[in-house]
Amino acid sequence: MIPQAMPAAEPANTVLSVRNLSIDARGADGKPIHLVQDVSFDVFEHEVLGIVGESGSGKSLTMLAVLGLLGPGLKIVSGSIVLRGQELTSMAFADLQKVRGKAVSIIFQDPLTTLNPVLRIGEQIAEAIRLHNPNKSKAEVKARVIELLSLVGIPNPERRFSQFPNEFSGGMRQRVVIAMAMANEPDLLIADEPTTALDVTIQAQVMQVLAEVRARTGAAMVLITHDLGLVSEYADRLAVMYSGRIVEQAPGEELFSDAKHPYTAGLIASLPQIDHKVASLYSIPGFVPDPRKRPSGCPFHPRCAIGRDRPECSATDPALREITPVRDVACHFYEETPAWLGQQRQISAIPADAPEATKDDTEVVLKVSHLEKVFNIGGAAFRSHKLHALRDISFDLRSGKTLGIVGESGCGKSTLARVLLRLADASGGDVFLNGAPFFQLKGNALRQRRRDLQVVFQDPYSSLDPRMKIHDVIAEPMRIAGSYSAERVTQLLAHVGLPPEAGQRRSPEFSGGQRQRIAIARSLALNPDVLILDEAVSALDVSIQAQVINLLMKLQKEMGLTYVFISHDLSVVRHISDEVMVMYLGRVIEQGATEDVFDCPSHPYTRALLAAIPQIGGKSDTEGMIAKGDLPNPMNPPSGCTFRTRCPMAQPLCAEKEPPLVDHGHPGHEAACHFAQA
Amino acid sequence: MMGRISISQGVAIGLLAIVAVLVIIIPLLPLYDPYSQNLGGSLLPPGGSSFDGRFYLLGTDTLGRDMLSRLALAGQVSALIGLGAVTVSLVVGVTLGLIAGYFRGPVEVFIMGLADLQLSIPRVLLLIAVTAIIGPSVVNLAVILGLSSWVAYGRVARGMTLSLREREFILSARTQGASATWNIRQHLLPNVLPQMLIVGSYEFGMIIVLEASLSYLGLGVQPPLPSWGMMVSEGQNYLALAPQLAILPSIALFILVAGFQFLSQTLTKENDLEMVA
Repeated sequence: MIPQAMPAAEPANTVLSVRNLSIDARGADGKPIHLVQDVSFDVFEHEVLGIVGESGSGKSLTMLAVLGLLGPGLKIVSGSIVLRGQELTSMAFADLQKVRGKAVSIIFQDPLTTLNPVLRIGEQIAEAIRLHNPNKSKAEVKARVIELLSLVGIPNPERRFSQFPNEFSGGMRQRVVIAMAMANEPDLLIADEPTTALDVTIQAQVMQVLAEVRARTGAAMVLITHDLGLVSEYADRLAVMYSGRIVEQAPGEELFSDAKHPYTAGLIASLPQIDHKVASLYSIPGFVPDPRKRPSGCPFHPRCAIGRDRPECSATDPALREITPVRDVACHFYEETPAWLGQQRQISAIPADAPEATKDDTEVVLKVSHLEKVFNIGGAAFRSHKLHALRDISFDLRSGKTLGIVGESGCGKSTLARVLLRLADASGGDVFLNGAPFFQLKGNALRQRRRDLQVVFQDPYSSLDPRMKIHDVIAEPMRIAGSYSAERVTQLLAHVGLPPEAGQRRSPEFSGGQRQRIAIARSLALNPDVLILDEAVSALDVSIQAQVINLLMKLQKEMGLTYVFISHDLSVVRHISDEVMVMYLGRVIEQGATEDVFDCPSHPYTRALLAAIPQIGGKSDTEGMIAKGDLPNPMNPPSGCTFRTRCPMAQPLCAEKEPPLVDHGHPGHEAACHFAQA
Repeated sequence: MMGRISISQGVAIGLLAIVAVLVIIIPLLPLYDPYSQNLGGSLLPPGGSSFDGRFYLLGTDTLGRDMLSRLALAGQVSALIGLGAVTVSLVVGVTLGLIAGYFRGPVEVFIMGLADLQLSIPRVLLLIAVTAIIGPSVVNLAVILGLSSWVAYGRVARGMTLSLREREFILSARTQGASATWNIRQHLLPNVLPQMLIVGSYEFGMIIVLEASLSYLGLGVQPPLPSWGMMVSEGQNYLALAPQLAILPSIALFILVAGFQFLSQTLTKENDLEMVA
């Protein structure tokens, strides 16, 4: 049991101690909304505490309260926050300012908005130093800034000192933010989704820098994230939050090997794995409750596989209690969780006698050959730069199959989607849809044919017109085609698991996952053959993501749909795809059957990507595998192999000759590398 | 959203209610004819009575006409010109703005060039020149004022269209075979229109003031039809003798314009909330 009253003396190595913290917001009707309830945890010296939870769990709010940065309308109603022996909740504003940035500092998610675009990088870091050291001379401050810049691994710190944020890449910007946060060597660093806005290879670099600077100063860290893999790899202890409270607390390895709360177990079971394929994902039903309409008893019980129908769970809210000296869990029936998780693993595993996937027996519905896209950038015609966004993309996609397209931002995967959909014109190459040329079509013929190729986009918020009723949203394609039927709308809603009444409401009333279901229903309205899914599950929380993936796979089976699945998330791609294409700077660098590419990647970039993904259980082995540096400027790509500037195995030959995309002893599995491993 | 009414909402409702009473209710009452003169009772102060015993609540003007009924009639004229002009400029501005933003390319260059051209000519000079040629009438004024103020709507409509056309619900409609007309009618117009009404409520006040300036110069409404601007201009000769002649229509103008300013503020807030939700 966590002590209710603060003990007389905190252990000397406690950096932060939060006890019974509750935060309320004032609702529109004047009634308080309990956003964070009775949260208690400690952070000890040198340790990384990971706080995981889906959106709306209260994880960021809790840490903002520690910094005294709660927005207007939010209030700490009870509890204490003690940082190095100082009580923060009752501290005067002026004193709090002395603590912020000195004893505790924060790294936010988006380095683009954290840095002021009109101030030079050096000045921004200097500001952080000067605030707490007003007596330092200008030269001293500058020397310290340059020291900090080199500490976070920014090359040429003297030159970078006087540059503006727009001259830095995303990963470099986040390094600058880390330098600012470390400027006064705080005891506690709060990192709120520090790498969520970054690509996976850059994420690995930034996490490494964080670990290095922490090792030097001995700062403790709270790592807030939705990414279970990331905390598994970088956190010593974990707290899982759900609907405003901590439901489980444990050392990282124990939590993942032996989850006790059904919510934690559900999250683990709903995550696709990078190292093996499962037949189906578990998905936690329902969604995170609105804090105004929290269920009675345990807030998780309506979604819980173990407690759903048990009277205790709907009657009493289980307190967070200690089950071993290092573990706490808030569940009446936590003993049953490991058995349930084991059972789920068996259900989702691919049976050993499963028939080999039938190959190449269906016809090609989408044939892409030598697709090119060049953008002219810059105003005046005689000074315009060419950006080769797509180079020589070819593939055949057979009916009922899924092609996964992976790559980091800027690799051209979304441009490919737009060109295929004819939302942008290709600069060369051909596309055949059901055997007929698609790119030559114009006017009415195009409007007819493009209905066979539909799309679901990433952002569930901008993909639905906020002023339309859901019924009209789904009916729109039929109205355009002149084949409207109200029954069909109801039928489509049922296909994606929504009740018919949903049609009468507008999109702002729906959550992200539901909106994505609506977008899927709309894309299916005209019975397309091919669906392009452009990061269609990337914006969703883990439990919701599993629901939508399962829905997509079910629909594919039932309707014989063919998918082009574009994603930066390799685990999801592995789970859903039959074939995979890896893109880098507009070019396909590896292509083949999913198992071949993931189990024996032959291009160094694919291997770097796979190695950079944080894995649940066990630290991933990134030694020597991390892709160095940043993506080169696509307007001025490197000569020869475009990956050579970041490649751990580059040779002089790579700068001279561009490697062709060919198979290396294994037909159907091609890679564009001079030194590809078969 | 029902519930509590904010201060600016309250002020907007209050001010516009005063104008509505003046312009709609008062003409329905059995008052004096706004045109009939009573030279025996000219320049009466508010609450004064003429020799023949007629009582005037707000007094009379130089020709002994009842100020209250003239103020009401002038309000109708001003409001009519304002509404007419706002309608004309909204329709023209939104149409051009949507076309420029959706089709881009040379069409956009042409339309936005037109807007720049229009802005570079001083509006009052343009209005003076045009009214001098085609002659002032209520309809002419509404059309001319409207045609000369579409740029504000056009700019905002184009800006919103530029961001909306990349939104995924429009891209998705395009992949379903929607034509440009469909997208503009079904998606762009309903999303742009609320913002346009905000611009309109702001512009309405500007138009009324502009009409008042034209009338003041004698290029607006022609006598004996009154407008508030014209009443101010007539009253200025008697500022020492009967200041109410200029002050009363000025107050009426102020209430109307301020009312619409507060209304546009309220609408902006509500629209922002809706966007966030």
